[in-house]
Amino acid sequence: MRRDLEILAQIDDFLDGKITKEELQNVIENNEDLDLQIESQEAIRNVMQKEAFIIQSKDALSKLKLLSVIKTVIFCIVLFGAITTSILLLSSNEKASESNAPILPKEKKPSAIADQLINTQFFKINNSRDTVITTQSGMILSIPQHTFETSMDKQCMIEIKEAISPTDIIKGGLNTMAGPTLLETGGMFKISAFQDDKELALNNGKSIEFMVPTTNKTPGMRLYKGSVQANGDINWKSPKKLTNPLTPSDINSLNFYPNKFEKYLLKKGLSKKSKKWKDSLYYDVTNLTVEEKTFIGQDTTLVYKFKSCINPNLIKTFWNKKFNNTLLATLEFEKRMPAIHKSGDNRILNLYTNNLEKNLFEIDSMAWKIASQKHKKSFYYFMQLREQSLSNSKSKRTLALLKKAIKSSQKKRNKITSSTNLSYYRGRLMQNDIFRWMNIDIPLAIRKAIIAAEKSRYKELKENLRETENNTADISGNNLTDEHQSFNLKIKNAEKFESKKCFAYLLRKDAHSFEKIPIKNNQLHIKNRKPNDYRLAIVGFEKDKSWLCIPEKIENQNLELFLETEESFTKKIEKVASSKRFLNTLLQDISKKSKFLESKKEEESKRLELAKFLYSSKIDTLFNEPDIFAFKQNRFTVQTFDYDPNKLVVKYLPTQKVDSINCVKAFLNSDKYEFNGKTTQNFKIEILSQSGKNMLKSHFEEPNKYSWPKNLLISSELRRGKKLSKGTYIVKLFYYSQLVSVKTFEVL
Amino acid sequence: MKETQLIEKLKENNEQAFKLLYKYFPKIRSYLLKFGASKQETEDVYHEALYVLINKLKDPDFVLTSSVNTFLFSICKYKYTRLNRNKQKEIDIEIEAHEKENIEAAVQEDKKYYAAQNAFQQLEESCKKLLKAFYVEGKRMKQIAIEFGFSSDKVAKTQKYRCLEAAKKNYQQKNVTL
Repeated sequence: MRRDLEILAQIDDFLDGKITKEELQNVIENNEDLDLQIESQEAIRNVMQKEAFIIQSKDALSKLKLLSVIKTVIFCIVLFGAITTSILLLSSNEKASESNAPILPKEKKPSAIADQLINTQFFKINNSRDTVITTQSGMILSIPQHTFETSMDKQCMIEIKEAISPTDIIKGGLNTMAGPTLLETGGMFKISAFQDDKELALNNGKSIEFMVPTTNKTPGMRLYKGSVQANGDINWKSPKKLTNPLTPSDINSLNFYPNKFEKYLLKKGLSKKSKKWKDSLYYDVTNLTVEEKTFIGQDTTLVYKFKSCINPNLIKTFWNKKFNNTLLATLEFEKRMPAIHKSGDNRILNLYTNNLEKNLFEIDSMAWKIASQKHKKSFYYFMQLREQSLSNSKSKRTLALLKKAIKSSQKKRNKITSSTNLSYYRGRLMQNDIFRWMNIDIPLAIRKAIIAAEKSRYKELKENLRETENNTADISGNNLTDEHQSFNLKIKNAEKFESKKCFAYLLRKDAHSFEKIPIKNNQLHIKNRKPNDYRLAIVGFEKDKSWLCIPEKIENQNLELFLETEESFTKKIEKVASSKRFLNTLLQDISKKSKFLESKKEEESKRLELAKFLYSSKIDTLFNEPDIFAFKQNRFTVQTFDYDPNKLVVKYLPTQKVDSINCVKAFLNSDKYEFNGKTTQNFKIEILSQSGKNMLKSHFEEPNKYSWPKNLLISSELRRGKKLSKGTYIVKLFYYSQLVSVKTFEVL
Repeated sequence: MKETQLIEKLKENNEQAFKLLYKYFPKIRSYLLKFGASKQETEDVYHEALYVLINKLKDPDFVLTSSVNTFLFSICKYKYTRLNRNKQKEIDIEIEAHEKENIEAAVQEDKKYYAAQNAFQQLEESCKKLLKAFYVEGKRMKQIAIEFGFSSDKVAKTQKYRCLEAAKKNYQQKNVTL
């Protein structure tokens, strides 16, 4: 090679770091312009490298653009998925996995495995304004202005990770252990805030309020703080009691009218009138003196009874903006209004308006004491909610934002209610589909926490399971019995997963808890457990793929993980992670306290009764529009029969044949409205003589063959030996013991 | 990812980390667009700034005193004003004092770079391809010999150095005249 070419090669070697400058100088004897040679050669090489770099990075950018388009689409899908699963759980305790908690930004902690496994939701907020955020699973955060410690009032980035559903929790590799104690959870979350990549802390005295939707407001839930262990798992520490503050709202956006007033406006097409207009109409009804009035139409008789009612003037006194930021301007108080209206007791309303400084539940208990027997249960229920007072006052803008957020959160939940994937968690109540069939929204209950220096909430299982078993959650080795056994399981393909991405969960059958057990060298050791108390799920994650194994029994065995689709993984996890306790949710919990459900036989009707007062504002929608339409259209006809109960023979009789009428049947002959089979028993008719005497034996079941297709038959037998004598009779049609239509007929 | 982590990853040539650098782009783009830059120009300027950053990070003596965002921002501002000076366009972007440090790094590079770029562009097309195949794509001489139709890898090697020498000569002349 020519000498100058050799020099070039040596300079290349130097630039590539293969030789030092001294070595280069030794090789090249005449080094007068060596530096210049090096510089120019480097410059030329740089040009090529830069060109290549720019081509590559342009390529990366265009891919990134494409990716972000795809991501937007995926996000929409994921969003829906997240709601569906989160609704399944809905009982909520929150936690934060806090490796990078804004509270202690300086402390360097190991990072939680969950940080890698759970997607982050980002929210940009302006630290100088109040902000309300709704997360994908419907969690609502209210962040007051200047919450974060930063000198600049610039945009902050809020990062939230949440795991509310069992699938999210398991996929996040989270557990529910507080040292040796197993906790019960409804979900966990982590929040951090950043500004220019700098993690922010909370300002002194500032706090963030969290609301997490739930159908199951179990008492005893607490907020735990997550501390990340060296192995990446989280240990839950320092439980704090949950506060239960009220949810403020702008008072003028609340509704304090009696339900019937609203219905009346709707009927008259006046429901869209302004509040001012409605007020004037409502306050006008103040002097109501008539107690009962009967209107007899052509073939319809209606009996109105005016019960004692809340004086509209009382409502007028507080329904204005002066009462914003008091307990009256809260969603909680709005929920009590129907019960107050129902009680018709002005003293009860006065209790609420005169005790603004008290906790809401204290007033509930006062109301419970003075309420009439019939209405006591409503206030007893409210009392049990232990709703306290307002946390701190909020600006009108925040109130509006909160209201909107709560509405959208509820909307999300309703979407799920109507979806076919009804949750195991809503238990038999939902399996019977009563609520769905009746088109009632599942009420939005909200559990609230104020996160200041603490971030998780959990319920100690120990406390909860005291009734069922002694100290089952204590796995420290004390109190072992013969039933406690240890197991060794071999997981064949566990080594294919990265470390910490394959683990097992012991899931208690009677509690919503997640105990994570590591798998080492394909071995899974389970120590001192009663195998019948648990289900076992072994999971492995590999990039976007999830592997799963759910053995039938916990015993010494060889197992293998199998690849699952996203859908089947979720389905199987939801099934295996559903505890019995949650299966029977909602009403059973409440029923224990209020001693309503005495016999399980009439569970369904009892449930409805309960539902009626629990959700009194909603129960008015018992009839959806087509129902009401059907009744109004006189699609209800009455016929009289001669019925032989022994032979089960029914003979149609015209009303003239006085002597033989011993059975009256009503038909809802709507061909537009399809009643499903179950509904028959929810209708009832009542036949009253003109003197108001009830002519009927109690409602009895009628074989369906006597009904006409698509027509609903309600039939009633007269009291034993009774015949309808000459005269006019009133037939009332009831639906869930609510009067829906009245007819008259005459026996000649 | 925290910024320190990001920088560590960038030093390790982590592709994922590199992609993360694009999160600063939208802000810078909208800033430059306000000064009348075209979309293409903003992208070009940004890529150049990325190059400066990546190269600087490779230098063990280099310490990033500002945030990545500020660094990229100041380089982009500078690059864009320079680009427009070349085009004889009047442009007035204020460069703040604390950004000067970042920019000085770029200024020195720039002078040399434009000279070298010119020198390189003057080469014959086949020469450019040959050099890129070796220096950028990292192809081996045997492979290059086959692709470029040289009888042996030795011939290819000689040819490569000839091209490099030519480029260097161009550059040295240019640089002198600068």
